[in-house]
Amino acid sequence: MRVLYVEDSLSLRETVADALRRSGYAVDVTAEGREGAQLGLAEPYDVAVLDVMVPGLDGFGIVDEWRKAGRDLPVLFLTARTAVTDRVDGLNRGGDDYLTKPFALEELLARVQALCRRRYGQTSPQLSIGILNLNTVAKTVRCGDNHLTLTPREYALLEYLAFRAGEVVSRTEIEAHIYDDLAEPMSNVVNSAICLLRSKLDSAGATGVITTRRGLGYVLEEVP
Amino acid sequence: MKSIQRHLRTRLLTVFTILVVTGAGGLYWAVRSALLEQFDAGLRVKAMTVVTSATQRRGDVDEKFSDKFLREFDDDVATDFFQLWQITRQQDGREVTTVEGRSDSLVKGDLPLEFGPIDAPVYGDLILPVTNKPGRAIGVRFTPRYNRRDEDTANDLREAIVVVASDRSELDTLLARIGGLLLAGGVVVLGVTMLVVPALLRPGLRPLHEVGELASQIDARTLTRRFPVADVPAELQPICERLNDLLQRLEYSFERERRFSGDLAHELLTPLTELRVLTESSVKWPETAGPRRSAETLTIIERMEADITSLLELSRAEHQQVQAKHEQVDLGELVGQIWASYASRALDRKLDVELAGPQSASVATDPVLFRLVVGNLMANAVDYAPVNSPVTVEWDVVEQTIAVSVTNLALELLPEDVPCLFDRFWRKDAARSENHHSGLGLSLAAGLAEVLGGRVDANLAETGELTMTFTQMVGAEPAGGDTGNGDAVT
Repeated sequence: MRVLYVEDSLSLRETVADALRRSGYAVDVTAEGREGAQLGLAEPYDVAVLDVMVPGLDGFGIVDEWRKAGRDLPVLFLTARTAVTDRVDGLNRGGDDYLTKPFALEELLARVQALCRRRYGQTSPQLSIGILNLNTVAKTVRCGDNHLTLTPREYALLEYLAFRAGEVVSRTEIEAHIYDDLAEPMSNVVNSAICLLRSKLDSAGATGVITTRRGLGYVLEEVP
Repeated sequence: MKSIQRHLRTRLLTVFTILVVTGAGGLYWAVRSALLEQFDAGLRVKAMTVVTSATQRRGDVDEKFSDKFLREFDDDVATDFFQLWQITRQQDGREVTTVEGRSDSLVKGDLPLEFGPIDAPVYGDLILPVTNKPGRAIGVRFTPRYNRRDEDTANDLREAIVVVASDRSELDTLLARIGGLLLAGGVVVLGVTMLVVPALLRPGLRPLHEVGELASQIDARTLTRRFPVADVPAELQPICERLNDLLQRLEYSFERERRFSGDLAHELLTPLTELRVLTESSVKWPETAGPRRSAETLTIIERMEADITSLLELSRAEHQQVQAKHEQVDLGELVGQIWASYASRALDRKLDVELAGPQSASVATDPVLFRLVVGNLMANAVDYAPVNSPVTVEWDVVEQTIAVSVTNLALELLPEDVPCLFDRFWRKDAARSENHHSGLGLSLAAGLAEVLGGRVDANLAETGELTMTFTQMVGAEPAGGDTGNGDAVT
């Protein structure tokens, strides 16, 4: 999943972005509101985490621009304004969730995860495709009784394909959602990642769950 | 509860009632007087008729009155009565009256012997004998006619008294009817007035009701509302203007408080969040903990410490818990020492600095507080002046007043920002992104200036130059008292 994080505090920006990456997200960060608005329009993020009070264009203004452009990107607001009126205002202005400072890091990660699930129509943290079972909160994968050990990037890739199970996911989409702007994705990175993931799934008994549609992309589906 | 409408209505109705009663009463009295006068005139005519019918001859008074033409004196009509007396003077000077004649209507009754001279007769009310009806009488003393060639009579002239009385029942009935009509009319008028007055008052008082209604709808959430000034009566205009002025100030104060609460929340909660996230991240991923993260944590803690210390100092200054300890200092030397702390930062930012003032000026002030006040002004100028721009520091003592001013370019400031400069946590940058300043410096400077018995003023010129001036009267009594034993500000 790819997250856009807009925050002007250098300390928070670095620490929270690091925590999100360690949790398997691809994260793009910016300290300026207008840049954040443009990124949100240009890139296919799954969730945006916005500090309300950022220079240039505040968090509410960023969401206003997205909604006017028809962008339905889920938004989690972060702010020190704790009054009920401020929270209601934030949600009425297009936010999907609102977290007041100071917040627990675990809570932030859980709320981002919940927004990602909702983005793909999932209501439960458990994702089951055939014998594959993903726990999106614990970031674990089981194949029948076998527990799979995946790197954060591999898990992120499998989770993304699982959220879109049955759909053809192009390489471009995988690049956009799994890799942040810190990386320089090249075409064989995705191929290699798919290849490694397939081999781990095969070893666990989930052979053929990821199929290639030549020229189109990849599909994760239940093996008949 | 008092009500203007009820008060006006009561007053108007009371006054109107008094007017109606007084008017009706006056009218009744005037009509009564006129009718009575007319009645008395009739009585006088009748009395004169009897007077002219009376004659005297050799000490004997007689009347030859015929009721043929004045049938009212007849016993079968009996609405008018008369009685005639002769006055006889005794040798001892006493006057004795004897009845010489009566009208047929009087029969054997007597009328009261009340009289006056012919040019000033006496009138009076009575109960008529025979009929026992209310009547009115006139009494006249006169000298009956006599033959002037009769010397005996001329030498022994006698006087007579005639009293004529008339039935006034009809007059009384008329007066009662008039009184009744006036009373009924007055009641009707008052009744109509009681209905009409409220209806007349209502439209007149409507603007007052509307203002009251609008006032009742205004609360903390609707302070942007204003009272109409253009369409209200002239009497309400100054009230509405004043209310609008108060609302504006209240709105500004509420906005200021809200802004302060938001800014305070940001300044305190953001570093707390940073600390929490850093710590939780270190716990969750121990490999991230290390010297760099510890240094970052320390920086955040130091920043919070500075903010909290400033807040506490400000609170102490505002509650006069800080006491100034005045001592003689050289103003130029002190300003120079303070500037020395900021000189290198000014150099880094390539500021064109000018320091100007008398080199030797001995003044009495608290050097510690003075340093905090002037130091904050200098820090602001050095940090916010654009790179390569001029900064001027001037000091002087004029007419027992110390004045230190710091001027720098502040092109991003607007005139409406100037009153906010001394608000706690106010910063031009609404996002509060730059973490070096929390927005307490100028508030603290202003608070401590007051402790010194002075003040800090801000002036934004049209050229974009901001001048912050600290003034303190040399002989000013410090606000916190100068006992020499108070808490020092560090």
